[in-house]
Amino acid sequence: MTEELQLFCEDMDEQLSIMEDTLMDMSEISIEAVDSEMINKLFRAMHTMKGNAGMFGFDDVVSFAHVAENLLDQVRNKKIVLTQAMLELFLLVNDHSRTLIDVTVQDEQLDDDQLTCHNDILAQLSAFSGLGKPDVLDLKSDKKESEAEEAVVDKISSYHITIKPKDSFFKSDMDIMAIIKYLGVIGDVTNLTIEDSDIPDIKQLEPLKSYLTLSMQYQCEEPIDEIVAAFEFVKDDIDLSIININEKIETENTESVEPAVVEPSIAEKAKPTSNALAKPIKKKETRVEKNFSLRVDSSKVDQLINLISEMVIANAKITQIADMDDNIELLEAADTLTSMLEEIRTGVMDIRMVQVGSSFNKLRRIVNDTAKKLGKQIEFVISGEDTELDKSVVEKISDPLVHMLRNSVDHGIESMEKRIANGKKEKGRIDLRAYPDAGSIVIEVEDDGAGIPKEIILAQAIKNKLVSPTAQLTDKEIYNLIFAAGLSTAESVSDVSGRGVGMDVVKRNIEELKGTVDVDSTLGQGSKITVCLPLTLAIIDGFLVQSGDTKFIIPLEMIQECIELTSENRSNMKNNEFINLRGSILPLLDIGDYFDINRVDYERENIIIVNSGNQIAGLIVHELHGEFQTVIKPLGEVFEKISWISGGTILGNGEVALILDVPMLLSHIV
Amino acid sequence: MSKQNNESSNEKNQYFLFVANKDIYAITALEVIEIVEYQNITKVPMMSDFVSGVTNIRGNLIAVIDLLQRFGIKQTQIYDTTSLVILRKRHFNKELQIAVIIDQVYEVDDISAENIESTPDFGTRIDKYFIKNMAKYNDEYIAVLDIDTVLDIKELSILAKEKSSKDKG
Amino acid sequence: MKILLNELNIYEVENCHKKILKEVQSVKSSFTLNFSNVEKIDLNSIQLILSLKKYCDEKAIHLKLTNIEARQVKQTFKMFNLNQTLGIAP
Repeated sequence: MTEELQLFCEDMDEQLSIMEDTLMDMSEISIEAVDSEMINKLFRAMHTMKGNAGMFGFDDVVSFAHVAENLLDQVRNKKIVLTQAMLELFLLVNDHSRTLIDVTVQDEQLDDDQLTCHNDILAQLSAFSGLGKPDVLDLKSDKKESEAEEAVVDKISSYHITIKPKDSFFKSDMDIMAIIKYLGVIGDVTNLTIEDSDIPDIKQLEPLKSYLTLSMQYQCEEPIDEIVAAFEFVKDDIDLSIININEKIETENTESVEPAVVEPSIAEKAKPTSNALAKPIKKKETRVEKNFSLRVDSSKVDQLINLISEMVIANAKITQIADMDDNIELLEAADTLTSMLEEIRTGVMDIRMVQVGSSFNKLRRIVNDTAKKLGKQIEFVISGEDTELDKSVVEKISDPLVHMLRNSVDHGIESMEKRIANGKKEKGRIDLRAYPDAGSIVIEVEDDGAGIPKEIILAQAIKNKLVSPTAQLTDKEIYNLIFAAGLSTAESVSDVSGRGVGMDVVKRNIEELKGTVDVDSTLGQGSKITVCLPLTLAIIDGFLVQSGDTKFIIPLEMIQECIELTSENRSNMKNNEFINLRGSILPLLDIGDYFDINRVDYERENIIIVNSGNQIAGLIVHELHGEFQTVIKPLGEVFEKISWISGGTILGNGEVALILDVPMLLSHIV
Repeated sequence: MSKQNNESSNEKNQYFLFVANKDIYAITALEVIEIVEYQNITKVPMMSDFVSGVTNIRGNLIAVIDLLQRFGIKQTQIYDTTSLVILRKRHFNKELQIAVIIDQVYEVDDISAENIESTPDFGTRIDKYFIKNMAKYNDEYIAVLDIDTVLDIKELSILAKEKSSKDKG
Repeated sequence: MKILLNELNIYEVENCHKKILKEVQSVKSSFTLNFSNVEKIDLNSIQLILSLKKYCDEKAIHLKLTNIEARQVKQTFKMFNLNQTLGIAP
């Protein structure tokens, strides 16, 4: 796929999401409450899609979008009243557009079912807009009558457009003819000419170099931004000037006319041709500032992060050497470098950060559809959409969230009758929240449903031999059993969830992201699932310790405090593996013993008190080396079974230290 | 076309020969990425004896395998000549890098196809399982290692023993 | 000269340029491009034809484009208002 086509797909995706979100918004309120801004949003999305497709000459998409846009336009202009049925249809339009775009981009044809669907939707759209016979696929007509009708004379503006492709334009493989054709769809192109004076004769011609200039008169009712937008995909490859020659009949030649020359930042000084100059009209130049954003291949950012990681390591080495040589100046320089590297790192990481909002909004559709299928009414409330998270994390969290939400809708929220019987509001409520909390991001899914029936879960778990019948479990431990593989509690296996898979996958996915998941519930009042995710996956602040001859990194955020293991403690332990820490029991784990590391005799031992979830434990190590910016590297497939080591990192001297996965380690020893 | 063929068959005939515990072994040269001096290896707890640990090769963490332990002979001693050979190993559709410890580099040489023979059913010093075939080199038979089995990820990744039971007493 | 290609586009333009250049230099009074095979044409190729036209005008060679049948090709010439310039019958 070419880069342009990739961009196209991303753009289309964005527009489809906007449409879908808006439609979901609309379906959540009563049809009368739908305001014009929502309709406008739909219209703009559809319109942009049509435009983009036009630029690539995807005629089928254009004509499909056009019909939908038409209807929206009529609704927008209050010529037609929006109905529930129409909303449903637009959801279908949304889904089908996706199909149509996929198929078109793959250069394939709609299959029979899809074609039936296509023509069916077109027929319905046309029926709504009162057009009668729809243009079924295979039509090639560019303009619809209705459009001609709507082209109210006094809204039309005239432009003179000059397009000068850059020398290398042809190599970009972009089709400017498709853009001109598209302009022809949304307006009228006249006097299209090729300025050929710069073209050399065939003996001197470099066939791949562009010598042309195109110019045309253009009339349309679109704002000038729309015309500029049509050139979005080629803007780097052409110099473009668009001159507004306002030809409103009643205002022609009057002083109040303020036509504008729009020059996208890439354009050369507008070079109006004689055609335009011939018009005795005042012109004023203005610049349209466009919000400039960059789409970068994420691998490029990853590469940068890797490089910075290497620099952090190299700098750690410098610091170490400076420290050994007692070279104060070098230490200071390295210090400066450290803080600058930190800034660069944060900056680059920031590029990867995206707001969770857009991915959250997609979930509304899922909640809505699931609820509808189950005949439930649910109010879905999202908050914290602007919380930022690493893009790769956002992508990977989407599936688990879908699972969790489906579960809440299906198992959490009770049927309407039941809710009424229990004196609850008949409409259930699910909250999806995101917020930052101490170096991580928390995502919560909370419902006001039935809560998790402890006894049923426990019985099921015992039946499936997940826990022994004699085990004494806390409430929390029982709730967390829902994440165990092979546990289904839905009394009837529904179409939606409750097949005994799902929540274990959720847990696994989240653990892959180095996150944790926890569930809490009150019977009759609802449940809450809390997911805690690290801000980023590549670098953590670690604490370097040593046990025997092996060095370990403990993530700093897990560490509560460090204390010395005194001989007094030792003797008080009396072979127990815990100590009394300020009045409460602190279970201990000797890392050296546990991992069978060659023992070296040390004068003193230290206890690192780690805190993971609700568990507190003390890890006995020998040496404390201090904080260390830890670049996490995977240990690789050979070590994949060791779950309590999450990776390795390279120390300043080139040695490797192992990163302890504290939650996994604790879950193993408890 | 024919020239290309020749070249690639030449490469296929090339072997990397090394010494481990006074025996000479061969690995097809195509499987060798590079050879580096022995360096610090970080032991990873709870792995089998033949997994020596991980080491840092230009910023990447690479698993190191003790060949002699893998063959069940003994733990490799470290000498001045001890080296790490970084090998490529296909694992599903990924190419992994894994290092093995050898006593000494011996030679890189061509061994023509007619000097390659199948492994006898018994009589080889190491298990036939690890041997791809036998190569006749300077009138001596040396074992060409089957990297796919020597570095079988499934076997390498087995944990030495489940230890979680020990610490509650 | 008959153009054998189905599509006159950016990928073919260099080859096509060479062929035309070779042929056109050996003619004296008239040069014919037969479009009967051509189903599609792009802006790059139009530039090539305009460049050919320049050469022909200089050397007083009569350039004829014949057998333009494909819809896309007809439309393209029409779209750029080239029918007159290139002497194409409407």
